[in-house]
Amino acid sequence: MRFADIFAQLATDPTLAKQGLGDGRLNCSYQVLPEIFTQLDDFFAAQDFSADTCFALQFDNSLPGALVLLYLLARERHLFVAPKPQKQDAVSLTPQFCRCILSLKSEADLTDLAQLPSALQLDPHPDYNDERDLPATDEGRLYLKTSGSMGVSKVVVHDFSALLGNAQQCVTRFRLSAADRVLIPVPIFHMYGLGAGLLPALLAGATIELLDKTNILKYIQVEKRFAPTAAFLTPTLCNMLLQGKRSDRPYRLVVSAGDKMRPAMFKTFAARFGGLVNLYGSTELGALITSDLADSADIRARYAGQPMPEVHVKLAPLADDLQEAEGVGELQLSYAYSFTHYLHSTGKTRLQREVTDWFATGDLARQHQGGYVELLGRAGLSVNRRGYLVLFSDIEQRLESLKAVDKAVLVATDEETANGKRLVAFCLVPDNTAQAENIRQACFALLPNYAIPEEIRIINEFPLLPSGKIDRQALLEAVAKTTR
Amino acid sequence: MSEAVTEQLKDIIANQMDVNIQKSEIESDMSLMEDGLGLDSVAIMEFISLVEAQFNFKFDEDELNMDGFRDLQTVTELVASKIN
Repeated sequence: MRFADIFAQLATDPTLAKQGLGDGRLNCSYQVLPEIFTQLDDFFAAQDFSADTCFALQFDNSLPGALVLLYLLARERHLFVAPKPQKQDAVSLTPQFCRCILSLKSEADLTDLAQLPSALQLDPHPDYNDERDLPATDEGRLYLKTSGSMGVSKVVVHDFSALLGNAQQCVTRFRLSAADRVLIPVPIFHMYGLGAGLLPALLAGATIELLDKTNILKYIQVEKRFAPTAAFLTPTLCNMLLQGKRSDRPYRLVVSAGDKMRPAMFKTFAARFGGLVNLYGSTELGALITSDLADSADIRARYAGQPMPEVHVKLAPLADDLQEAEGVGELQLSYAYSFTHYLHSTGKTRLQREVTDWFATGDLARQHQGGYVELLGRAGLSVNRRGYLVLFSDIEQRLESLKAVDKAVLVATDEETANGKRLVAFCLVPDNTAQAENIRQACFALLPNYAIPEEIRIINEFPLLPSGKIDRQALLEAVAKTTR
Repeated sequence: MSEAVTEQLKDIIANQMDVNIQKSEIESDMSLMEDGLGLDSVAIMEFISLVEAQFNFKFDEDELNMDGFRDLQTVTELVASKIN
Protein backbone atom coordinates (compact mmCIF):
# COMPACT_ATOMS: atom_id res chain seq x y z
CA MET A 1 0.00 0.00 0.00
CA ARG A 2 1.17 3.49 -0.83
CA PHE A 3 -0.36 6.89 -0.14
CA ALA A 4 -1.66 7.07 -3.72
CA ASP A 5 -3.61 3.82 -3.22
CA ILE A 6 -5.06 5.04 0.05
CA PHE A 7 -6.22 8.37 -1.34
CA ALA A 8 -7.70 6.59 -4.39
CA GLN A 9 -9.66 4.31 -2.08
CA LEU A 10 -10.93 7.26 -0.05
CA ALA A 11 -12.10 8.94 -3.24
CA THR A 12 -14.00 5.95 -4.59
CA ASP A 13 -15.44 4.33 -1.46
CA PRO A 14 -19.21 5.01 -1.72
CA THR A 15 -19.58 4.78 2.08
CA LEU A 16 -17.24 7.78 2.47
CA ALA A 17 -19.17 10.16 0.21
CA LYS A 18 -19.78 12.57 3.09
CA GLN A 19 -16.31 12.49 4.63
CA GLY A 20 -13.52 14.90 3.86
CA LEU A 21 -11.31 17.68 5.16
CA GLY A 22 -11.96 21.28 6.16
CA ASP A 23 -10.53 24.26 8.01
CA GLY A 24 -13.56 26.44 8.70
CA ARG A 25 -13.05 28.44 5.50
CA LEU A 26 -12.67 25.77 2.86
CA ASN A 27 -13.87 22.17 2.64
CA CYS A 28 -13.27 19.29 0.30
CA SER A 29 -14.73 15.82 0.20
CA TYR A 30 -12.45 12.86 -0.38
CA GLN A 31 -14.15 12.38 -3.74
CA VAL A 32 -12.55 15.49 -5.21
CA LEU A 33 -8.98 14.61 -4.18
CA PRO A 34 -8.10 13.02 -7.57
CA GLU A 35 -9.31 16.12 -9.39
CA ILE A 36 -7.23 18.44 -7.19
CA PHE A 37 -4.19 16.20 -7.59
CA THR A 38 -4.52 16.29 -11.39
CA GLN A 39 -4.58 20.09 -11.32
CA LEU A 40 -1.47 20.09 -9.18
CA ASP A 41 0.17 17.65 -11.63
CA ASP A 42 -0.16 20.31 -14.32
CA PHE A 43 1.33 22.93 -12.01
CA PHE A 44 4.38 20.80 -11.16
CA ALA A 45 4.84 19.40 -14.69
CA ALA A 46 5.25 22.95 -15.96
CA GLN A 47 8.30 23.38 -13.68
CA ASP A 48 10.37 20.39 -14.86
CA PHE A 49 11.69 19.12 -11.51
CA SER A 50 13.64 15.92 -11.06
CA ALA A 51 12.10 13.11 -9.03
CA ASP A 52 14.18 13.79 -5.92
CA THR A 53 13.80 17.59 -5.92
CA CYS A 54 13.00 18.61 -2.37
CA PHE A 55 10.25 21.16 -1.74
CA ALA A 56 9.93 23.12 1.51
CA LEU A 57 6.31 23.67 2.50
CA GLN A 58 5.36 26.87 4.29
CA PHE A 59 1.64 26.96 4.92
CA ASP A 60 -0.79 27.77 7.67
CA ASN A 61 -2.38 24.84 9.46
CA SER A 62 -5.22 24.85 6.98
CA LEU A 63 -6.72 22.99 4.03
CA PRO A 64 -4.61 24.37 1.12
CA GLY A 65 -1.37 23.37 2.85
CA ALA A 66 -2.80 19.99 3.79
CA LEU A 67 -3.80 19.32 0.17
CA VAL A 68 -0.36 20.21 -1.19
CA LEU A 69 1.15 17.95 1.46
CA LEU A 70 -1.17 15.05 0.55
CA TYR A 71 -0.46 15.59 -3.13
CA LEU A 72 3.30 15.33 -2.61
CA LEU A 73 2.76 12.19 -0.52
CA ALA A 74 0.59 10.67 -3.25
CA ARG A 75 3.22 11.42 -5.90
CA GLU A 76 6.13 10.03 -3.80
CA ARG A 77 8.01 13.33 -3.85
CA HIS A 78 10.57 14.75 -1.41
CA LEU A 79 9.33 17.37 1.01
CA PHE A 80 10.57 19.32 4.00
CA VAL A 81 7.82 20.44 6.36
CA ALA A 82 7.86 22.74 9.38
CA PRO A 83 5.21 25.06 10.81
CA LYS A 84 5.19 28.33 8.89
CA PRO A 85 8.01 30.57 10.15
CA GLN A 86 7.90 34.35 10.47
CA LYS A 87 8.50 35.97 7.09
CA GLN A 88 11.99 37.20 7.97
CA ASP A 89 13.05 33.66 8.97
CA ALA A 90 11.46 31.91 5.98
CA VAL A 91 14.76 31.34 4.19
CA SER A 92 17.14 30.93 7.13
CA LEU A 93 14.96 28.19 8.62
CA THR A 94 14.76 26.24 5.36
CA PRO A 95 17.49 23.66 4.71
CA GLN A 96 19.63 24.51 1.71
CA PHE A 97 18.94 21.18 0.00
CA CYS A 98 15.40 22.38 -0.67
CA ARG A 99 15.24 23.56 -4.28
CA CYS A 100 12.11 25.67 -3.78
CA ILE A 101 9.89 27.06 -1.08
CA LEU A 102 6.20 26.44 -1.70
CA SER A 103 3.63 28.74 -0.14
CA LEU A 104 0.34 30.49 -0.86
CA LYS A 105 0.34 33.96 -2.36
CA SER A 106 -2.45 34.88 0.01
CA GLU A 107 -4.36 32.53 2.25
CA ALA A 108 -7.34 34.88 2.44
CA ASP A 109 -7.68 35.31 -1.34
CA LEU A 110 -8.09 31.60 -2.01
CA THR A 111 -11.84 31.05 -1.83
CA ASP A 112 -12.25 28.15 -4.25
CA LEU A 113 -10.01 25.07 -4.27
CA ALA A 114 -10.16 24.94 -8.08
CA GLN A 115 -7.89 28.02 -7.90
CA LEU A 116 -5.31 26.25 -5.71
CA PRO A 117 -2.61 25.82 -8.40
CA SER A 118 -2.78 29.48 -9.43
CA ALA A 119 -2.65 30.57 -5.77
CA LEU A 120 0.59 28.70 -5.15
CA GLN A 121 3.88 30.52 -4.99
CA LEU A 122 7.15 28.78 -5.77
CA ASP A 123 10.31 30.60 -4.68
CA PRO A 124 13.76 29.20 -5.44
CA HIS A 125 15.92 28.83 -2.34
CA PRO A 126 18.53 31.61 -2.62
CA ASP A 127 21.24 29.49 -0.94
CA TYR A 128 20.31 26.23 -2.65
CA ASN A 129 23.05 23.66 -2.18
CA ASP A 130 22.09 20.01 -2.38
CA GLU A 131 24.60 17.59 -0.91
CA ARG A 132 22.11 14.82 -0.29
CA ASP A 133 23.65 11.48 -0.96
CA LEU A 134 20.93 9.13 0.18
CA PRO A 135 20.47 5.54 -0.99
CA ALA A 136 18.23 5.36 -4.05
CA THR A 137 14.58 4.58 -3.45
CA ASP A 138 11.41 4.73 -5.50
CA GLU A 139 9.57 6.05 -2.46
CA GLY A 140 9.13 9.63 -1.42
CA ARG A 141 10.86 11.01 1.63
CA LEU A 142 9.75 13.36 4.37
CA TYR A 143 12.25 15.74 5.98
CA LEU A 144 11.55 17.25 9.41
CA LYS A 145 13.46 19.55 11.72
CA THR A 146 14.50 18.04 15.07
CA SER A 147 12.25 19.31 17.83
CA GLY A 148 15.05 20.49 20.10
CA SER A 149 16.53 23.12 17.85
CA MET A 150 15.47 26.70 17.32
CA GLY A 151 17.39 26.86 14.03
CA VAL A 152 17.75 24.15 11.37
CA SER A 153 20.69 22.33 12.87
CA LYS A 154 19.52 18.79 12.19
CA VAL A 155 17.07 17.33 9.69
CA VAL A 156 15.33 13.99 10.22
CA VAL A 157 14.58 11.76 7.21
CA HIS A 158 11.60 9.39 7.01
CA ASP A 159 10.66 7.04 4.19
CA PHE A 160 6.98 7.24 3.26
CA SER A 161 6.49 3.54 3.99
CA ALA A 162 7.59 4.13 7.59
CA LEU A 163 5.15 7.03 7.92
CA LEU A 164 2.37 4.80 6.69
CA GLY A 165 3.30 1.94 8.99
CA ASN A 166 3.36 4.28 11.95
CA ALA A 167 0.01 5.83 10.98
CA GLN A 168 -1.63 2.43 10.62
CA GLN A 169 -0.66 1.52 14.16
CA CYS A 170 -2.24 4.74 15.42
CA VAL A 171 -5.53 3.90 13.67
CA THR A 172 -5.65 0.60 15.52
CA ARG A 173 -4.57 1.87 18.95
CA PHE A 174 -6.87 4.92 18.86
CA ARG A 175 -9.70 2.89 17.27
CA LEU A 176 -10.22 5.60 14.67
CA SER A 177 -13.05 4.99 12.21
CA ALA A 178 -15.01 6.70 9.44
CA ALA A 179 -17.57 7.68 12.09
CA ASP A 180 -15.01 9.90 13.82
CA ARG A 181 -14.91 13.66 13.42
CA VAL A 182 -11.29 14.53 14.13
CA LEU A 183 -10.22 18.02 15.18
CA ILE A 184 -6.52 18.83 14.65
CA PRO A 185 -5.57 22.17 16.25
CA VAL A 186 -1.89 21.15 16.48
CA PRO A 187 0.47 21.71 13.51
CA ILE A 188 0.15 19.10 10.76
CA PHE A 189 3.69 20.08 9.75
CA HIS A 190 5.10 18.38 12.85
CA MET A 191 5.43 14.65 13.42
CA TYR A 192 2.66 14.63 16.02
CA GLY A 193 -0.04 16.39 14.02
CA LEU A 194 0.93 14.61 10.80
CA GLY A 195 2.01 11.14 11.86
CA ALA A 196 -0.39 10.57 14.75
CA GLY A 197 -3.25 12.92 13.79
CA LEU A 198 -3.80 13.72 10.12
CA LEU A 199 -2.50 10.54 8.43
CA PRO A 200 -4.23 8.07 10.81
CA ALA A 201 -7.49 10.06 10.53
CA LEU A 202 -7.22 9.84 6.74
CA LEU A 203 -6.48 6.11 6.80
CA ALA A 204 -9.62 5.66 8.90
CA GLY A 205 -11.70 7.71 6.43
CA ALA A 206 -12.70 10.10 9.23
CA THR A 207 -13.95 13.65 8.77
CA ILE A 208 -11.10 16.04 9.53
CA GLU A 209 -11.04 19.67 10.64
CA LEU A 210 -7.82 21.70 10.89
CA LEU A 211 -7.39 24.75 13.08
CA ASP A 212 -4.67 27.38 12.61
CA LYS A 213 -3.13 29.49 15.43
CA THR A 214 -5.38 27.91 17.99
CA ASN A 215 -6.65 29.92 20.92
CA ILE A 216 -9.56 29.37 23.28
CA LEU A 217 -11.91 31.62 21.30
CA LYS A 218 -11.32 29.79 18.02
CA TYR A 219 -11.46 26.43 19.75
CA ILE A 220 -14.85 27.04 21.37
CA GLN A 221 -16.25 28.22 18.02
CA VAL A 222 -14.96 25.26 16.03
CA GLU A 223 -16.05 22.80 18.70
CA LYS A 224 -19.61 24.09 18.45
CA ARG A 225 -19.65 24.11 14.64
CA PHE A 226 -17.73 20.92 13.88
CA ALA A 227 -18.85 18.73 16.82
CA PRO A 228 -15.66 16.66 17.02
CA THR A 229 -15.60 13.13 18.47
CA ALA A 230 -11.81 13.16 18.68
CA ALA A 231 -9.12 15.81 19.12
CA PHE A 232 -5.32 15.87 19.04
CA LEU A 233 -4.12 18.27 21.73
CA THR A 234 -1.15 19.10 23.96
CA PRO A 235 -1.12 19.60 27.73
CA THR A 236 -1.06 23.37 27.08
CA LEU A 237 -4.21 23.11 24.95
CA CYS A 238 -5.86 20.81 27.51
CA ASN A 239 -5.09 23.38 30.20
CA MET A 240 -6.55 26.07 27.97
CA LEU A 241 -9.82 24.10 27.71
CA LEU A 242 -9.89 23.48 31.46
CA GLN A 243 -9.59 27.19 32.12
CA GLY A 244 -11.59 28.59 29.25
CA LYS A 245 -14.46 26.17 28.69
CA ARG A 246 -17.47 26.84 30.86
CA SER A 247 -19.39 23.72 29.86
CA ASP A 248 -18.30 20.08 29.65
CA ARG A 249 -18.79 17.79 26.67
CA PRO A 250 -17.74 14.20 26.07
CA TYR A 251 -15.11 13.29 23.49
CA ARG A 252 -14.65 9.69 22.45
CA LEU A 253 -10.92 10.32 22.26
CA VAL A 254 -8.58 13.14 23.21
CA VAL A 255 -4.90 12.50 22.55
CA SER A 256 -2.39 14.65 24.43
CA ALA A 257 1.22 14.68 23.30
CA GLY A 258 4.28 16.90 23.21
CA ASP A 259 4.78 17.02 26.95
CA LYS A 260 3.88 15.06 30.05
CA MET A 261 0.60 16.02 31.70
CA ARG A 262 0.42 16.12 35.48
CA PRO A 263 -1.80 13.24 36.71
CA ALA A 264 -4.07 15.57 38.75
CA MET A 265 -4.77 17.69 35.68
CA PHE A 266 -5.25 14.55 33.59
CA LYS A 267 -7.99 13.32 35.92
CA THR A 268 -9.79 16.66 36.01
CA PHE A 269 -9.71 16.85 32.21
CA ALA A 270 -10.88 13.25 31.75
CA ALA A 271 -13.78 13.84 34.16
CA ARG A 272 -14.95 16.87 32.14
CA PHE A 273 -14.18 15.83 28.56
CA GLY A 274 -13.88 12.05 28.46
CA GLY A 275 -11.49 9.67 26.70
CA LEU A 276 -8.10 11.23 27.31
CA VAL A 277 -4.89 9.34 26.52
CA ASN A 278 -1.26 10.41 26.74
CA LEU A 279 0.90 9.80 23.69
CA TYR A 280 4.68 9.73 23.81
CA GLY A 281 6.53 10.08 20.55
CA SER A 282 9.36 11.85 18.79
CA THR A 283 10.17 13.55 15.51
CA GLU A 284 12.71 10.82 14.82
CA LEU A 285 10.62 7.76 15.60
CA GLY A 286 6.94 8.67 15.45
CA ALA A 287 4.13 7.58 17.81
CA LEU A 288 5.72 5.23 20.32
CA ILE A 289 3.95 4.79 23.62
CA THR A 290 0.30 5.44 24.42
CA SER A 291 -2.59 4.22 26.49
CA ASP A 292 -5.54 2.27 25.28
CA LEU A 293 -8.97 3.74 26.04
CA ALA A 294 -9.76 0.45 27.80
CA ASP A 295 -7.15 1.23 30.49
CA SER A 296 -8.54 2.79 33.67
CA ALA A 297 -8.37 6.59 33.99
CA ASP A 298 -5.89 6.13 36.84
CA ILE A 299 -3.52 4.06 34.68
CA ARG A 300 -3.91 6.47 31.78
CA ALA A 301 -3.13 9.42 34.07
CA ARG A 302 -0.03 7.91 35.67
CA TYR A 303 1.71 6.39 32.69
CA ALA A 304 2.56 7.34 29.13
CA GLY A 305 1.05 3.95 28.33
CA GLN A 306 2.27 0.78 26.67
CA PRO A 307 4.65 0.66 23.71
CA MET A 308 3.01 0.39 20.29
CA PRO A 309 3.55 -2.88 18.41
CA GLU A 310 7.05 -3.00 16.84
CA VAL A 311 8.42 -0.66 19.54
CA HIS A 312 11.09 -2.13 21.82
CA VAL A 313 11.98 -0.51 25.12
CA LYS A 314 15.29 -0.48 26.99
CA LEU A 315 16.26 1.55 30.06
CA ALA A 316 19.92 2.52 29.89
CA PRO A 317 21.97 3.26 33.03
CA LEU A 318 22.38 6.95 33.72
CA ALA A 319 25.56 8.98 33.47
CA ASP A 320 27.45 9.37 36.75
CA ASP A 321 26.50 12.94 37.54
CA LEU A 322 22.78 12.17 37.60
CA GLN A 323 21.13 10.82 40.67
CA GLU A 324 20.27 7.13 40.60
CA ALA A 325 16.80 6.04 41.58
CA GLU A 326 15.38 2.55 41.74
CA GLY A 327 14.51 1.20 38.31
CA VAL A 328 15.03 4.55 36.58
CA GLY A 329 17.01 4.78 33.38
CA GLU A 330 17.25 6.70 30.16
CA LEU A 331 14.52 5.58 27.81
CA GLN A 332 15.92 4.00 24.66
CA LEU A 333 13.69 2.72 21.91
CA SER A 334 13.90 0.86 18.67
CA TYR A 335 11.08 0.94 16.17
CA ALA A 336 10.52 -0.66 12.79
CA TYR A 337 9.01 2.58 11.41
CA SER A 338 11.66 5.03 12.56
CA PHE A 339 13.80 7.55 10.67
CA THR A 340 16.74 6.55 8.50
CA HIS A 341 19.11 9.54 8.58
CA TYR A 342 20.05 12.80 10.21
CA LEU A 343 21.15 15.38 7.66
CA HIS A 344 22.95 18.70 7.92
CA SER A 345 21.17 21.72 6.51
CA THR A 346 23.07 21.24 3.23
CA GLY A 347 21.80 17.68 3.00
CA LYS A 348 25.14 16.13 3.89
CA THR A 349 24.61 13.00 6.00
CA ARG A 350 25.28 13.43 9.73
CA LEU A 351 24.15 9.99 10.73
CA GLN A 352 22.96 6.98 8.84
CA ARG A 353 21.25 4.29 10.85
CA GLU A 354 19.34 1.05 10.63
CA VAL A 355 15.70 1.61 11.50
CA THR A 356 16.04 -0.97 14.25
CA ASP A 357 19.02 0.77 15.95
CA TRP A 358 18.44 1.93 19.52
CA PHE A 359 17.50 5.57 19.82
CA ALA A 360 18.37 7.45 23.02
CA THR A 361 15.43 9.72 23.84
CA GLY A 362 17.06 11.79 26.58
CA ASP A 363 14.03 11.13 28.77
CA LEU A 364 14.08 9.45 32.17
CA ALA A 365 11.63 6.58 32.60
CA ARG A 366 10.65 3.57 34.67
CA GLN A 367 8.74 0.54 33.43
CA HIS A 368 5.97 -1.13 35.42
CA GLN A 369 4.16 -4.45 35.30
CA GLY A 370 2.26 -4.93 32.06
CA GLY A 371 4.87 -2.88 30.20
CA TYR A 372 3.47 0.50 31.25
CA VAL A 373 6.07 3.24 30.90
CA GLU A 374 6.21 6.06 33.42
CA LEU A 375 8.04 9.20 32.28
CA LEU A 376 10.01 11.16 34.84
CA GLY A 377 11.43 14.15 32.98
CA ARG A 378 14.49 14.97 30.92
CA ALA A 379 17.84 13.32 31.55
CA GLY A 380 19.92 16.24 30.34
CA LEU A 381 19.94 20.00 30.18
CA SER A 382 16.67 20.57 28.44
CA VAL A 383 13.06 21.11 29.31
CA ASN A 384 9.70 20.78 27.65
CA ARG A 385 7.82 24.07 27.36
CA ARG A 386 4.35 24.19 25.80
CA GLY A 387 5.28 21.04 23.93
CA TYR A 388 8.53 22.44 22.54
CA LEU A 389 11.75 20.81 23.57
CA VAL A 390 13.98 23.66 24.70
CA LEU A 391 17.71 23.14 25.11
CA PHE A 392 19.24 25.16 27.93
CA SER A 393 22.23 25.85 25.71
CA ASP A 394 20.00 27.55 23.11
CA ILE A 395 18.62 30.02 25.66
CA GLU A 396 22.03 30.59 27.25
CA GLN A 397 23.61 31.36 23.88
CA ARG A 398 20.90 33.84 22.96
CA LEU A 399 21.27 35.61 26.31
CA GLU A 400 25.03 35.75 25.85
CA SER A 401 24.49 37.38 22.45
CA LEU A 402 23.43 40.48 24.42
CA LYS A 403 26.23 42.97 25.03
CA ALA A 404 25.16 43.26 28.65
CA VAL A 405 25.54 39.55 29.41
CA ASP A 406 28.96 37.93 29.77
CA LYS A 407 27.68 34.54 30.73
CA ALA A 408 24.26 33.01 31.29
CA VAL A 409 23.26 29.79 33.03
CA LEU A 410 19.72 28.48 33.02
CA VAL A 411 17.99 26.32 35.61
CA ALA A 412 14.49 24.81 35.60
CA THR A 413 12.69 24.66 38.93
CA ASP A 414 9.93 22.22 39.87
CA GLU A 415 7.33 24.97 39.94
CA GLU A 416 4.80 24.66 37.08
CA THR A 417 3.81 27.73 35.04
CA ALA A 418 1.49 28.04 32.03
CA ASN A 419 4.56 27.45 29.86
CA GLY A 420 5.89 24.43 31.76
CA LYS A 421 8.60 24.30 34.40
CA ARG A 422 9.62 27.72 35.70
CA LEU A 423 12.92 28.86 34.16
CA VAL A 424 15.40 31.13 35.91
CA ALA A 425 18.40 32.49 34.02
CA PHE A 426 21.41 33.63 36.02
CA CYS A 427 23.38 36.29 34.17
CA LEU A 428 26.86 37.58 34.78
CA VAL A 429 26.78 41.27 33.87
CA PRO A 430 29.95 43.32 33.33
CA ASP A 431 30.17 46.18 35.85
CA ASN A 432 26.45 46.01 36.65
CA THR A 433 25.65 47.65 33.31
CA ALA A 434 22.24 46.06 32.94
CA GLN A 435 19.26 45.31 35.10
CA ALA A 436 17.44 42.01 35.22
CA GLU A 437 14.26 43.63 34.00
CA ASN A 438 15.93 45.04 30.88
CA ILE A 439 17.53 41.73 30.03
CA ARG A 440 14.19 39.98 30.30
CA GLN A 441 12.56 42.57 28.05
CA ALA A 442 15.28 41.99 25.48
CA CYS A 443 14.36 38.29 25.56
CA PHE A 444 11.07 39.01 23.80
CA ALA A 445 13.05 39.86 20.66
CA LEU A 446 15.58 37.04 21.07
CA LEU A 447 13.49 34.01 21.90
CA PRO A 448 10.12 32.49 21.10
CA ASN A 449 7.63 33.28 23.90
CA TYR A 450 7.60 29.72 25.23
CA ALA A 451 11.38 29.86 25.78
CA ILE A 452 11.59 33.15 27.69
CA PRO A 453 12.76 32.52 31.26
CA GLU A 454 10.22 33.56 33.89
CA GLU A 455 12.97 35.28 35.82
CA ILE A 456 16.39 36.79 35.17
CA ARG A 457 18.80 37.08 38.08
CA ILE A 458 22.03 39.02 38.07
CA ILE A 459 24.88 37.13 39.67
CA ASN A 460 28.42 38.30 40.47
CA GLU A 461 30.06 34.92 40.47
CA PHE A 462 28.87 31.42 39.53
CA PRO A 463 29.14 28.66 42.15
CA LEU A 464 31.51 25.97 40.87
CA LEU A 465 31.86 22.24 41.40
CA PRO A 466 35.30 20.83 42.32
CA SER A 467 35.63 19.91 38.61
CA GLY A 468 35.37 23.58 37.71
CA LYS A 469 31.94 23.14 36.10
CA ILE A 470 29.10 25.41 37.11
CA ASP A 471 27.14 24.00 40.05
CA ARG A 472 23.57 24.15 38.74
CA GLN A 473 22.28 22.43 41.86
CA ALA A 474 23.57 25.33 43.99
CA LEU A 475 21.79 27.78 41.66
CA LEU A 476 18.56 25.80 42.06
CA GLU A 477 18.95 25.93 45.83
CA ALA A 478 19.49 29.68 45.64
CA VAL A 479 16.20 29.96 43.74
CA ALA A 480 14.38 27.74 46.24
CA LYS A 481 15.62 29.85 49.17
CA THR A 482 14.34 33.10 47.76
CA THR A 483 11.05 31.92 46.30
CA ARG A 484 8.09 31.60 48.58
CA MET B 1 -18.13 54.85 30.80
CA SER B 2 -16.87 52.82 27.88
CA GLU B 3 -13.74 54.98 27.71
CA ALA B 4 -12.96 54.09 31.30
CA VAL B 5 -13.41 50.40 30.48
CA THR B 6 -11.04 50.69 27.50
CA GLU B 7 -8.45 52.37 29.74
CA GLN B 8 -8.70 49.57 32.26
CA LEU B 9 -8.30 46.98 29.50
CA LYS B 10 -5.14 48.74 28.28
CA ASP B 11 -3.84 48.71 31.85
CA ILE B 12 -4.44 44.98 32.11
CA ILE B 13 -2.45 44.31 28.92
CA ALA B 14 0.42 46.70 29.65
CA ASN B 15 0.78 46.21 33.40
CA GLN B 16 -0.68 42.90 34.46
CA MET B 17 0.16 40.56 31.61
CA ASP B 18 3.48 38.87 30.84
CA VAL B 19 3.89 40.54 27.44
CA ASN B 20 6.28 43.22 26.26
CA ILE B 21 3.71 45.89 25.32
CA GLN B 22 3.66 49.53 26.52
CA LYS B 23 0.34 51.18 27.23
CA SER B 24 1.12 53.99 24.78
CA GLU B 25 1.49 51.45 21.94
CA ILE B 26 -2.04 50.14 22.33
CA GLU B 27 -4.77 51.47 20.05
CA SER B 28 -8.33 50.39 20.73
CA ASP B 29 -8.90 49.29 17.12
CA MET B 30 -5.81 47.07 16.96
CA SER B 31 -6.44 43.35 16.65
CA LEU B 32 -5.58 41.43 19.81
CA MET B 33 -4.03 38.60 17.78
CA GLU B 34 -1.04 38.12 15.51
CA ASP B 35 -1.88 40.96 13.10
CA GLY B 36 -2.03 43.50 15.94
CA LEU B 37 -0.98 43.20 19.57
CA GLY B 38 0.20 39.66 18.90
CA LEU B 39 -1.30 37.97 21.95
CA ASP B 40 -0.70 34.23 21.66
CA SER B 41 -2.97 31.47 22.96
CA VAL B 42 -1.57 31.59 26.50
CA ALA B 43 -1.78 35.39 26.60
CA ILE B 44 -5.41 35.39 25.35
CA MET B 45 -6.32 33.00 28.15
CA GLU B 46 -4.54 35.22 30.66
CA PHE B 47 -6.33 38.29 29.27
CA ILE B 48 -9.77 36.68 29.61
CA SER B 49 -9.09 35.66 33.23
CA LEU B 50 -7.75 39.11 34.16
CA VAL B 51 -10.75 40.88 32.59
CA GLU B 52 -13.11 38.62 34.51
CA ALA B 53 -11.23 39.29 37.76
CA GLN B 54 -11.02 43.04 37.20
CA PHE B 55 -14.71 43.52 36.42
CA ASN B 56 -15.94 40.72 38.64
CA PHE B 57 -18.04 38.64 36.25
CA LYS B 58 -17.67 35.49 34.15
CA PHE B 59 -18.09 35.42 30.37
CA ASP B 60 -20.64 32.92 29.07
CA GLU B 61 -19.21 30.35 26.69
CA ASP B 62 -21.21 31.88 23.83
CA GLU B 63 -19.45 35.19 24.40
CA LEU B 64 -16.00 33.68 23.97
CA ASN B 65 -15.55 34.05 20.22
CA MET B 66 -13.28 35.85 17.78
CA ASP B 67 -15.87 38.55 16.99
CA GLY B 68 -16.20 39.64 20.61
CA PHE B 69 -12.45 39.62 21.11
CA ARG B 70 -11.46 41.19 17.80
CA ASP B 71 -10.04 44.38 19.33
CA LEU B 72 -10.36 46.47 22.49
CA GLN B 73 -13.47 48.22 21.19
CA THR B 74 -15.38 44.96 20.84
CA VAL B 75 -14.13 43.75 24.23
CA THR B 76 -15.17 47.09 25.74
CA GLU B 77 -18.69 46.64 24.33
CA LEU B 78 -18.82 43.11 25.67
CA VAL B 79 -17.62 44.16 29.13
CA ALA B 80 -20.01 47.12 29.20
CA SER B 81 -22.94 44.83 28.41
CA LYS B 82 -21.90 42.52 31.24
CA ILE B 83 -21.48 45.12 33.97
CA ASN B 84 -24.58 47.13 33.13
